[in-house]
Amino acid sequence: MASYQTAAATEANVVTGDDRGSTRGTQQQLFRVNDLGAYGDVTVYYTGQRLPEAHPGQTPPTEAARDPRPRFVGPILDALERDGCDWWVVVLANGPVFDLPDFSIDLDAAGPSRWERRLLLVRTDPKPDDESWSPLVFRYRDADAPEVVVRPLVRLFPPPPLTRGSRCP
Amino acid sequence: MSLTLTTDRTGYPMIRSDALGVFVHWLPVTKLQLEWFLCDQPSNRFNQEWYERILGVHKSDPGRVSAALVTDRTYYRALATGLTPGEVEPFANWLARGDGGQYELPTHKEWKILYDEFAAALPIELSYVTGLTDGAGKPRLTARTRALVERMNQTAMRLPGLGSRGAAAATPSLADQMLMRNGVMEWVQWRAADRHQDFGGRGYPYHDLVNNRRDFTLEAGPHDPGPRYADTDSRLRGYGFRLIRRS
Repeated sequence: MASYQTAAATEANVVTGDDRGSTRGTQQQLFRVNDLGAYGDVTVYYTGQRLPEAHPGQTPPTEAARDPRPRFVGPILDALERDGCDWWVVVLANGPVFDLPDFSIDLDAAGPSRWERRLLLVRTDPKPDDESWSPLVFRYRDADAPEVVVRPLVRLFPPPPLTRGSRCP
Repeated sequence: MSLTLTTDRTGYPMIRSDALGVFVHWLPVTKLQLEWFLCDQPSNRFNQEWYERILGVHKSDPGRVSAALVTDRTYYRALATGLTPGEVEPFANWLARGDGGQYELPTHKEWKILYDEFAAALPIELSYVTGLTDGAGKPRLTARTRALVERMNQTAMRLPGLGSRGAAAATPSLADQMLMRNGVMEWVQWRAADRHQDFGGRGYPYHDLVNNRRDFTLEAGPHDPGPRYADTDSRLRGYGFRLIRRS
C-alpha cells in the first residue's frame, strides 16, 4: 500500500502540438500518468466521467474514449472528498475546465480551498485562453519530457513523501 | 405544514409538499446537478459540444457561476437553463435510477398548488436543509452543494420585489426562499395536451416582466410553447425546471 492516493483526470482526446486528436497523444499523456506510480496508488479518470477508467495497479487505457465528455472534474473531486483520503490530483486538459473555479475557495472556512495545494492543472493546448485554476497550472509544451509534469506535483507532497500513512484502504 | 426534507442522488435537497404528497426540489435544478448527470452518461448525446451550447445560452455572460461568485446579478447562471423539456426527461430518469422514485416535471396544476402551499409558509432555517445527514451521520450535501445552496439562499432572501404573500407584504415566504418566484421560468407539464408550459417567476434580469405581469401564476391555459420546444434545439436562457418525486 502506497502512502499517497493520487488521481489523474485526463481528457481522452488530449493533444500535444500538431498531434491534435491522435491516439499517440493519448498514449503520451497516459505514460506521464504512469510516471506518478512511483509516488503512490494512481487512479485514472477521464474528465467528465465519474467512474475510474483505471484503478490502482491497472494499466491505463491507451486509446481515446469513443465519446469525449464535457470537460469538468467536479463530480470526481466531490467523490474523492467524500472518501476523506489524502488525495493529490493531476488534471490534464486541452481547454478550460468548466468547474475548477468551484474548488478555489473554501466557503466554509472563508479561505483557500484544501485543493489549492493538492491539484495541479496541466494545460496542453498551445494557447490557454483562460485561467480556470490559478493556484497550480503547468503549461505543457511539445518538447517537454514527461518528468516535467510529475515534478510540480511531487513538490506538493509534504516531506518525506512516502512515509506518511494512508488514511484509506 | 410539516417539514420533511431529503436529497436526490446528486445530494441536492428536496422538500415534501403536504398538499401533493410529493417531494420537490428545493431550488430549480442547478448546473452542478446537471454535471453529475453528465458524468454518469454512457451515451454521447450529452457531450462537450452539447454542454457548451447550454453554457452559451447566456451569450454575453459566462454560462456558469461558482458558489463563491453567486450574487443578485449572477445567480441565474448557477441554474440549469436552456434545456428543452425533451432533455429534462433523461435527467429525470437518471435521478429515478438513483433511488427508485418517479421524477418528473410537475403539471401546471401541481406547480400552482406547490406555489400556494409554500407561499403561505414562512422561510425555514437553512441549516435544516444544509445539515441533512444519511443513516451513518455523514452529510448528504457535498461541500460544493452546501456552499451553493447557502449562497443561493442569501441571494433569494434579498432579491428585490419580495412579498409573494401579498402585494404589500415585505416578508419573504418559503416560496421566495425556494426561488419559485424570483428564480427562472420553469417548465411544467400540460398533461391534457401532452405539451409543456412555462410557469413560475423570472428573476433578475426579468424583474420588470414579473412586476408588470400580475398574473404570473398563469391560471389560463398554455400559450402553446410545447411542441415548439419539446424536442428541438430552441433554447431559452430564462427557462429552467424543478422536478417532483412521486414516491
